[in-house]
Amino acid sequence: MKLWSNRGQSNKNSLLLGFLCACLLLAGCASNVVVTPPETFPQPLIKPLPLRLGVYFPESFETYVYERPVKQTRKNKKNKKKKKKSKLKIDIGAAQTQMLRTVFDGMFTSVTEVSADALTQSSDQYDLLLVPEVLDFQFASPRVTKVNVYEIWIKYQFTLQAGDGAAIANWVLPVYGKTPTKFLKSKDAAVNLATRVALRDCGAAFITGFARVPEIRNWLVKDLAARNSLQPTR
Amino acid sequence: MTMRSCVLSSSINKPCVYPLAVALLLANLGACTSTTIDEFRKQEFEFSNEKSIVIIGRRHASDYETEPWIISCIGKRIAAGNGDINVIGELDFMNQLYPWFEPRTAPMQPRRLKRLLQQDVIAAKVEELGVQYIVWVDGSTQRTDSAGSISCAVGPGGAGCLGFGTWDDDSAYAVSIWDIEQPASVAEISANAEGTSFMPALIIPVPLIARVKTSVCNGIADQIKAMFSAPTG
Repeated sequence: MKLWSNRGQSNKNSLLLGFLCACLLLAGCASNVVVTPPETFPQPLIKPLPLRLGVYFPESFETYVYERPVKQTRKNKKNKKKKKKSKLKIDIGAAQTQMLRTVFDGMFTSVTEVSADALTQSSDQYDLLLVPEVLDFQFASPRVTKVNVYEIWIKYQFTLQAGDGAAIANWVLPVYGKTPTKFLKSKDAAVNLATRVALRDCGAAFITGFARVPEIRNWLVKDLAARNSLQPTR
Repeated sequence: MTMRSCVLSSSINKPCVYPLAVALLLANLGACTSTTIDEFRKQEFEFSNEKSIVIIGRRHASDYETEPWIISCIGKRIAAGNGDINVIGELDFMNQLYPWFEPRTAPMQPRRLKRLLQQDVIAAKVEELGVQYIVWVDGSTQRTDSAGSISCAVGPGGAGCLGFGTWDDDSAYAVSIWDIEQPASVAEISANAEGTSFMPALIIPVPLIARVKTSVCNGIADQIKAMFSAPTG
């Protein structure tokens, strides 16, 4: 009886060990890299435009997560190449929303966050309504590009309309960020840094490029005569 | 000015490790860094102790990026000592003047800086920070060559490595010093360094690293310090 009992315990232990090994193996196949860049961005040093901005952040923008499968090839003991699948997740939703909030606060005299309903209604509370969107996100590692940096490209689209509902522009803005070097950095840290650089680049590109977009410039000159108060850019 | 610095090995007293010590010493002699610093002053300039300098890395190239580490290293070395030169941190300066010194927007020529300073808010911020000179650093350290192999094994009796590895690092940096008040480029420094590192492994791998980045950092920092300290003529 005792023998059976011991054997039962041994079987239980074997099952538990097997289960743990299976869990470890499964976890190895679906390892995720979740990157969340810091949510603090510098206040822009500019003279605000005399515009009242209404901005709508869609949920898809605020919670944007880039996700893609990554194939990793490694050599095993017998020097045979073994492919391993994992997932790369880059969570930039909160960081990019915070970055744009900071940029808009410094760039316009007043900023109000509105709901989606405001986009279909004419209002004299805002001069300009803006909706940001992520069109595309690309990530490149040194393993792929053979260049000694991690790179991030994000393609944004800013849909702008006047307070009365008239469409102004669909401004597509590509931004770019890269890490200084691949050495001495974990992949998470490198992706995090490259994303932070890309988001800073987005702010810089938005501030310096806003009045250069022909449709926006025309609208500023024609409807608001605000051109003189724009920052002289290079 | 060309400097040659080497890593010194620590003394080993046990007789049984004399051959190893000799091997290490020989290898150490090879783990040297050769640094060349060239300076060109375009005009006379003087530094006021009440003012500050800022050191910024160029980040516009697509295939390399000036490492933040070297910017920080140069800044720390200049600021160390008697504290005559106040150095503003790169990120702090970039944040205070966001977005005008980002890779996309940073002025590439002094005339661009002049146009930038025509904006009241930017000029006021630069005045508030007390910046007199901007030191631009452009370049990187690359691994140019590597050879050798090291194999490590673990067994019931223990673990160990055997082999030999070597690699070459090459640094090339161009430094441009801009006077904010003019604004104009007042001096240029060119810094090049190269070094070969070794890693012999006889049970334990012993890295003998040529400190190329540190050498070039020290060379640039000392040159900038000398330029700001000594009267020009």
